[in-house]
Order: sequence, then structure tokens, then C-alpha cells
Amino acid sequence: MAYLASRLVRFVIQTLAALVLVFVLFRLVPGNPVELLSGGLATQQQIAAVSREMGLDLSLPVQLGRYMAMAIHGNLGVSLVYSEPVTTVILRRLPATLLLAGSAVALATVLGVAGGVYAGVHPGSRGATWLMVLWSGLLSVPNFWLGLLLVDVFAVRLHWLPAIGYGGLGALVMPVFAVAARLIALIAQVTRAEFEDLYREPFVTVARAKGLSGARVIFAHVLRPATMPIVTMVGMQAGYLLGGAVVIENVFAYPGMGQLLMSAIGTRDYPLVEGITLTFVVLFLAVNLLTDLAYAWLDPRVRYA
Amino acid sequence: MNRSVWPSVLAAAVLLGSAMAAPGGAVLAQTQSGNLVFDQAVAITSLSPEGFQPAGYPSGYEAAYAIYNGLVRFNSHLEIVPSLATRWYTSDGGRVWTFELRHGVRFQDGTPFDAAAVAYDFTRMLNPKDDTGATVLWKPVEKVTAVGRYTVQITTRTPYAAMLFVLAHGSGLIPSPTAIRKWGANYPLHPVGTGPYEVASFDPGSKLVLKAYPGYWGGKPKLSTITFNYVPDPQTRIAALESGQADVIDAVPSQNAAQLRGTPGIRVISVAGLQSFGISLDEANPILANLNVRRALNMAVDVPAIIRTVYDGQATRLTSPLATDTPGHVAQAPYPYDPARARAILARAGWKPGPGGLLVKDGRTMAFTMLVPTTEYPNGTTAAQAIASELGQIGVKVTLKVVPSASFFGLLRQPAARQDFQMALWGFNPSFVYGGLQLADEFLANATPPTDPPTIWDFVWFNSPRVNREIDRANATLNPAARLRILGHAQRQVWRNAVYIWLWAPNVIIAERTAVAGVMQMPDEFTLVQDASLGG
Repeated sequence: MAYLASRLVRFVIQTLAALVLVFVLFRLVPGNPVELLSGGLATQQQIAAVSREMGLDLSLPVQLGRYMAMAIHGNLGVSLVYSEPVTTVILRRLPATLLLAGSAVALATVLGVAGGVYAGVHPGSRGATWLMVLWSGLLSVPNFWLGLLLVDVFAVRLHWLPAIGYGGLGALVMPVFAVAARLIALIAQVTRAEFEDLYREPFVTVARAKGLSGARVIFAHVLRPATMPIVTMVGMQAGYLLGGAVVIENVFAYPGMGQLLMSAIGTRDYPLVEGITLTFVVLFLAVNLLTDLAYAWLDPRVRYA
Repeated sequence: MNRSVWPSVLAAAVLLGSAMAAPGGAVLAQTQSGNLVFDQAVAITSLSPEGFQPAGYPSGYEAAYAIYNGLVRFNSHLEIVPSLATRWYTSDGGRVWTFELRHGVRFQDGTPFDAAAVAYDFTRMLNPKDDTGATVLWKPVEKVTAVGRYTVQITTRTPYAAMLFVLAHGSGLIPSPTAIRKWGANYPLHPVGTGPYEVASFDPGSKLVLKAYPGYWGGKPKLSTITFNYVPDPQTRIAALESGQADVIDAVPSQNAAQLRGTPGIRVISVAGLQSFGISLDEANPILANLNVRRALNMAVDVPAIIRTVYDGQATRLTSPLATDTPGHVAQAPYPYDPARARAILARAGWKPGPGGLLVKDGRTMAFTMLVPTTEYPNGTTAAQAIASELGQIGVKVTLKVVPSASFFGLLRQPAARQDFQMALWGFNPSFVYGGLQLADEFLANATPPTDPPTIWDFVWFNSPRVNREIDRANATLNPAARLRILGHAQRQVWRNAVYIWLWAPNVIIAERTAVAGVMQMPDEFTLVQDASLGG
């Protein structure tokens, strides 16, 4: 409990620090949201008047203080572009991104563990060699390029899948795979290494000598100790996964948080960018926290005092 | 954890994975007849003609033109034709415009359209609190009054030559007064007009679906729905069109146009645009203050060659500060491409080749910084590199300063002393179409001193009393022939003053499936789909 409490305190401090950083840095970048919104037809006088009304003319510390006071009460302000509360705008997009990232983790775990187990149990086989080549490929290909490649093959040439990530399971396939690609390879490599080692352990030999089937040995005996590094990998990669989702959402015109973030940056929609960053930070820290808790749950020897 | 749980978790995950990967469930939904899909490069976030206006640009306007009507509209040749007004005339020395309105029109929420509605909406446009985006356009208007059930009068402070252009512009579209009152600050997400299509669903920043408005005064709309999708990546837009997921796409890069032209079932539409490009030359800079230097720089850039190579020929060389198709354009003699002459002119001004071939005068090297936005202008950075290298050929050192598009405009609009560049790649797109206003926005002297930011877009601090007079006079002259003559004088002055290195106006390029008919591509960048239909 004490551990959990201290983790939560750190969680809050980290979140606040990230928020202050984004708030200050983004406002130091040149560009005025009012000017961008006015489409070039407003006079300087008009831009100044609207900026004043939005409180953008105040000094940075004052703006930050006001924002923090609001944020602590759960109010993230109103988006300059959407003229709606930031929380409304974000909540509209969050499910799509959670679906994308969640499906990517699920797909990566399934394909990564399956491939890793196969290659670990059959070291040196031709199948294992090909799988390892494939994983290096998945690791070295930039995800946006993989996305465009998938679109060209499966949407333009074969007409199997829609080019754009709107609605339906079919539309989800390519964006999910593009986001998951890197994680598939990482999980597979970790799993393979674990299995190669574990398969030589005496307890596996004992289990096989007992006459247990290969599958039973794998699932009941080897997979469980191998789970820890896999969970670590997923937890560590969560940040990359969210970053990948930002890029991939834009390639597939997928209406999630990443696409929202890119357009919010482009229009200097300060409150919205801050809100999205806050959401990403909380998601990232939450995944890390869950990963740590999962250790204790998976391995009874781990105790946080 | 119970170890026996693992296999079932795994099995469930495999099932999920295979379900997602099944191609059987993902057969493409070809667009059905009657439902048009338009994939746009810019997101639609707001659909009110007030405030910051339909946003973004041009996507929000394009949808707004399907939802709303104005009193007048542009035809495809940018001529003004009747819309909700059937006829109009001016009186009182051109200060009073009287419009006779169409009878029997209803807004999509049932509100009758009449002079009172027009007066209500346009009076709001005169209040800078309600009209934040188009104040400049509406400022000359003094008042708007309903003088009969179907007669409305607009009074301007002085004769206003741009009046009809403003009424045809996006800020002149007429929303339902009932809806404005009902929704207040949320109106931009609940637009109601008199146009052929009304909102079925709106996911701001991502997707807008319009459906036919059965009560439309202009007859039954040709489509049942129009879907506007935000698809930022050009290659994804092209893939969506090629795979049949989209019927119309905008902002086709010029380098993809040729390949798309060869694709069966796809039609490319390329229209000469109004966005006029130039390299700004800061007159406050002691080197560039010399007119001969500015003219020499104009002779050092091979504009037709860059149009051929960088834009695949999909651009028109400027012959005035205004693009050729901008109303009010009067052609001037282009500066010849003659690097030898440029060198000779600079040599006469005292600039001689020094170390490394760079021009030097009194121990000072001719070197400039050119501000360029990353993605704002298609092919912009490539074009800027080509220009910098051509200027290098005559011994002028140009360093590119490439900045994010969102920072670009703010960096331009700074007090003179804060501008840390002497050149900028700049393209002005007149959304209001009329050339006289473009000249005013770019070349009318700033109302404030250089210690303040420029009033609008005269960030080179050009100030010619003669040009100021001519622009003001032209914009107060209602007689078209007389106005054109004065605009010609102003353009001649600005052109010969070499305020910019004059470049080109790129084409606006879109693509559509050949089954689509009636999409109107306007030179001012707007792709209008409200009259479109889908064939077999």
C-alpha cells in the first residue's frame, strides 16, 4: 500500500512536470493561434483584441498559473479551434486511439509470442531463420513507410482493405499492423531468447521426461517464467506505441488522438495540445504503473515494500 | 495466477487477431450512387460564416457553400451572378446598395428567409465581436436595413467597389437567425442555411456528412449525401481515390498529376489558380532599398524553367502582382531572364565579385536570409532552393531559413526590427477574389510605424504615396472599366518597383472518379461539390 501511495505521488508530480514543460515550451515556439485562425484577413489590431480576450497577451507565468488552477479542478479550458471544452474534444477521439493501441498490443503479443515460441523451440531451423529475418525487417522499417506500403499493396492494388481507417474491422487491420510491427519483432525476439534458454533448463527436461506433451510443456512450464520479460517489453514500448499511433493515424486518416494532436499543433491550439499531452502522459505513466504491479502479480517473489 | 488460464487467454487473443486479419470481412464498400465522398487535405472544424469563418481553409468554406447561400455567388469564371438576391442596383453616388430577394425561400430549420434575416446576419458581421475573421472586408459597411419584406439595403461609408465580392465570399453566406439565437457559441457546430444540403452528422476535425435538403429553392439536390473526410496525407488521398473509397480528392501534388491522368476511371482537373507567389524583398534593408538591385534580382531567376521542373508545368508565370485570372489583373511586361544583365546592373551599382565569386561592395558581401515555410506551399522548399541557387549564380548568397508553417505567418508579421530575414517565399491567395483588395492588403502602406507589426501583409514596408492613392481610388470606383484602368496604374507601379521577385501562380489540382459530374473547381482554391452528381 505504501508503495502504491508513493507511486501515485510520483505519478502526480511527473504529470505536473510534463504539463508545465509542454505549456512553456509550446508557447515559446513562434506562431499565434488567433492569427492562424483568422485566415490572414484580420488586421493586427483585431488580432491583438482577440488575443487579449483569450488571455494570450498575459505573461507566461500568469497564464501558467491560471491554467494550473483550472487543470487541478479538472477543467482543461476551451479549444481555440473547436470552441468546445478540451475534455469534450479529447473524449470524442480517445476511444479510437485506445482501440488502435490496444489492438496493436494484442496483435503484437499473439504474433510475437507465437513466432518467438516457435523459433525458440526449433533453434537453427529454416523457419526460425526466416522468422528472425522478418523481425529484423519489421524493426528497421519506419512505421509510416510500412503504412504507405500496406496501403499501396492491399488497398490500391489488391482492393482487399480500405485505404482509410474509418469504421469496420477491415479498416482497422492495416493501421493496427503498422503500429504493432515494431512490437511484434521485439516481443518475438525476447520470447525466442527466453525459450532457447529455458528449454535447456533441467526442469523442462524433467517435464518432458515425465512424458508431458510439447504443448503442455510450453504453456504450463516455460511460458510462465518467460512472461516477465515480455511484460517488461510491452510496458517499455508503450511510449513508442503511442508515438507510433500519432504517425500512423495521420497516414491512415484515422480519427484518433494522434491526428488531433497534429492538427492542434498546426493551428497552435494551446489548450488542446496541452490537454492531449496530459492525456498521453497519464496513459504512459498508467501503463508503467500497471507493468510494475503486474510483476508482483506474475512473480510472487517480487514484493514492493 | 492460475496456470490453466493462460491457454484460454492465448486462444482468445489468437481469435481476436485472426478476426482482425480476415480479408473476407473487409471487402471494399464502393461508393453507391447518390452518396459522394470528398477527401480533403484540411480538417473542417467550424461552419459559421461569423467568428473566424468556416474553418479550416479551404475545407470549411467548401462545405459551407453546400449548406448556405449568399445574396450573390461566383460562377466558374469568377463572375458575380444572382443567388438569394434576384437583382440589385446602387444609388446615392454608389453608397447604397439595394437588393431584391428571392421569395418563398426557407432555411433548413423552417425559418423563412427574408430581408429581416439578411439585416440581422449582416449587422452582426459589422460587430468585430461576432466577425473576428473578415473585419477588413466588412469595415466599409455602415449599416444594413430591411426596407421591405424582400428588399434589403446596404449602406457603405464611401463607395465600395468590392461590395459584391464580399457578399459572394464565405463571410457573406447567410445563416438562419433562429439557429444563431438558439445555439449561441455552439452555432459553428450546428450550421443552418438555405443551401441544397443540411448537416446529417458532424465530427469536427474528422468527418462531416451532409444530406439533401428537400425544401431547397433551387430544385431537388442531385445527391442523397455528401461526406467530407479529413485525409491529411496526399498519398493516402490518392490511394483512397484509386481504390474507390473516395470520389473526389483535393490538393493533388503536381508531381502526381501525370500518373493519375494515366489511371483509367480517374479524371484530373487542373485550373489556373489565384495564389500569386513572390520572394519578398525587404525595403528596409540598405542593400535591397536600391531599386536597381531589386530589378537585377528579378532578372536572375529563370521563372519558366522552375515552373517546368518544380511544378511539372502546372503553374502560370506572373505578369502582375495579381494572378492572371484575378479580377482586376492588368498584364505588365515580364522581367527578362538575363543573368549577364543582372550582373552588369549590380556591377554598375558597385557590387563586384569577391572571394568565392560572391558580390562585395565596400567590404560588405551581398548575403540574405530567406524565410520559407516547410509545408504551407506545395513544392515551396524545392522552389526556394532553386531560386537561392540561381541567385548564387550571379554572386548573391541566399541562406534558407525553413520554419514550421504555423510559425511562418507570425514571423512575417513582426515589427521591422524583429524580422531576422530579408526575403521570404510568399503566396497570397485572395479568398475574396477581387484584385483591388489584394493590392490593398499587400501594398497599401501600413497604418502604423515599423515599430509595430504590419497592419495586414505589407511586411516589406512598401510605402508609395502614389500607389496608396491609386489603390484607394480604384476601390472606391464602381464603374468597372474606370476601376480597371486605375488598378492597372497601381499594378504597373508595384511591378516596376520590384517589391518582390515576381514568380508564379500554381494551378489548383484535384482528381475525381469519371463517374462524378458537376464538381466545380474554382481558381480561388475552392472545390465546390454542391452541384455534383454521380453517374453509373
